[in-house]
Amino acid sequence: MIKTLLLATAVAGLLAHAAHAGEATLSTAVFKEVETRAADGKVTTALKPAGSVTPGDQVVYVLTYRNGGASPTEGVVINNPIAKDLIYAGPADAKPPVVSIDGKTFGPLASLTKTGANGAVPATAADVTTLRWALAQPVPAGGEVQMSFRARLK
Amino acid sequence: MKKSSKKLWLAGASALLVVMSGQAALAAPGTQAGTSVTNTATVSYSVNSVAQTPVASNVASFVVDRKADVVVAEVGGTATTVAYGQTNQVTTFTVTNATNAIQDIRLFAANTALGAPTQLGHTDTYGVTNLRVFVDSNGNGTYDAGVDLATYIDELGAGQTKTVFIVADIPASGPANGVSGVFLTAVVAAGGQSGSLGADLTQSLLDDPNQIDTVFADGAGYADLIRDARHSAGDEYLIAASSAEVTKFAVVISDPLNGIVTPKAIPGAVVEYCIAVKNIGAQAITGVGLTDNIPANTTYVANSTYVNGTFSGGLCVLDGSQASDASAFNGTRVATTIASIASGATATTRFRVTIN
Repeated sequence: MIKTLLLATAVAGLLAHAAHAGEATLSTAVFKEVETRAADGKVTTALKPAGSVTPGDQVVYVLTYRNGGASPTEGVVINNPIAKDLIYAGPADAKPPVVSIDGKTFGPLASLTKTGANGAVPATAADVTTLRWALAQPVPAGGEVQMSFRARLK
Repeated sequence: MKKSSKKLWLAGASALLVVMSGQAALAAPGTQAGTSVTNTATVSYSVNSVAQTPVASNVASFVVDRKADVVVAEVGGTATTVAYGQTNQVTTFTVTNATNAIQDIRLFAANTALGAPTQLGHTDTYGVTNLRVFVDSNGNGTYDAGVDLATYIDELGAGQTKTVFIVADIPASGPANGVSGVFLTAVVAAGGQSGSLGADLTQSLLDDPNQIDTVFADGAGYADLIRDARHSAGDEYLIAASSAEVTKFAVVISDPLNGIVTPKAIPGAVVEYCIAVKNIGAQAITGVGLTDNIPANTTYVANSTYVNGTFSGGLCVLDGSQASDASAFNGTRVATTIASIASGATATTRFRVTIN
C-alpha cells in the first residue's frame, strides 16, 4: 500500500516534468527499498527516495511508458543501459526484461555466454550492460505500462 | 527545446562515465563517494505501423554517499619483548581506509586497563608510559626515530593502507614477566585539505539524493563499537622472562705467616669474596644491583671493590673497574650496580676483607 502510494506520487511528479500532450513519453525514477518491521513482526518493504546509497546497496529503477497520443502504439521497445557503477540485480516486478552483455544480442541471462580464458562461459549479472522490454501488446491511447528492475551499487 | 536539454544531459552522463572508469581502479571499497549515478532509457514505437522517432526518458540520478569504514590490524601477532627501564619501544599496526573516498585518519594510543585482557589474550599487569603514535613515512615498515613524525594519516586514498607505530617507554620497574596491553584507535576524519587533520566525520541525519551523505559502516574492534567511524586493535609489551644465577666464592689471598704461598684463613689473613652473576635468560638484563654484607669478624679492606669483572675457571679474574668506597661501601655492606649483562654472559663483583 505504501509502495503503491509512493510510486503513484513519484510517477505523477515525473509526468508533470516529462509529459507532452499527444506524444509517447518514458520516465525513469530511482528508489531505495527500505524494510520496516512492524510490531507484530511483519516485514514490509517500501520504496523510498534514493537518498542514502553507499557501495553494496540495492536500488530500484521504475520506468513508466505512457501513450499520450490519440492512437494505440505498437512495437514498443524500451532500452535501458545499466550505469557503469551498477550491477543488474534482476527484475522488480513480473515483467522480466531480456538482457544483453554487448548491447547487440538480447535474451534471458541464462542464454548468454561470454568469452573467457578457456572459451565460452555463462554470462553473469555483472556482465549485463543493457536491459530491453519489448511489449507484446499495443498500448492504447492514454495507456500506461510500468516496468522496474533492481541494481546494486558497486 | 526539451530535446536539446536532454541531449546535454546525456553528454554530461557519458563524460562522467569516463571519469568514473579512472576512479574505479583506485577505489577498492566500491564506487567513489560523490559519483553521480544516472539512468536514462529510450523507447521506440510505431503508430499505425509507422515507426516514430525514439524518445528518451528523463534522467534519474542519485549521488553515491560516503560509507565511512576503517580497519586497524596488529602486525605480527606477537608481543614486543622489552625490559624495564627501556625507552622508545615499538608496536606495529596497519591502518586501512575502507571508506569509498579519500579521508584523513586521526590516531591515538592508550593502555589496556590493568587486569583487562590484551588483544593477544593475556592479562594486563603493568602500564607503559609516554605513549606516542607515528605514521611510517617511508613505507619500510620500521619505526625510524626522527623520520616518522606524522601523528595522523593525511589524505589516505580509498582502500589504501599505512603502517602506524605505537612508541612507548617501559617503566623502571614492575611485576615479573609483566604484560602491558596497548591499543591503537583510528578515527575517520574529513579529507580534502592536505597538510591538516580534518574534523571527525559525523553521520548524516537526512538522506539527500543530491548530496554526499555519510553512513558509518565500520566493524567493532578491540576497544570500539560497530558503526562509530572508528576501529581499534591491540598489541602488548611483554617483559622478557629473565633470570640470573648468583654464585659467591671466597678465596684466601694471603695470611700474616705464609704470605701469598698457600695462605690459610687465620686471623689477619686477607680473603677475597667473588660474586658472579650469570644471565641465564634470553634477553640482556640491565641495572643489575647487588648488595653483600661484610661477614661478622671481618674488616673491609679499603678501596678493594671491583665491579663488572670477568669470570674464568671458577674464579674471579683480577679485572673490572674499581668502585669508590664512597659509593660501594657504607660501613656494613658492599653495594654495586652493573649496567648490563648480555644473555649467557657473567659479570663479577669482588671485594676483600681481613679476618679479625
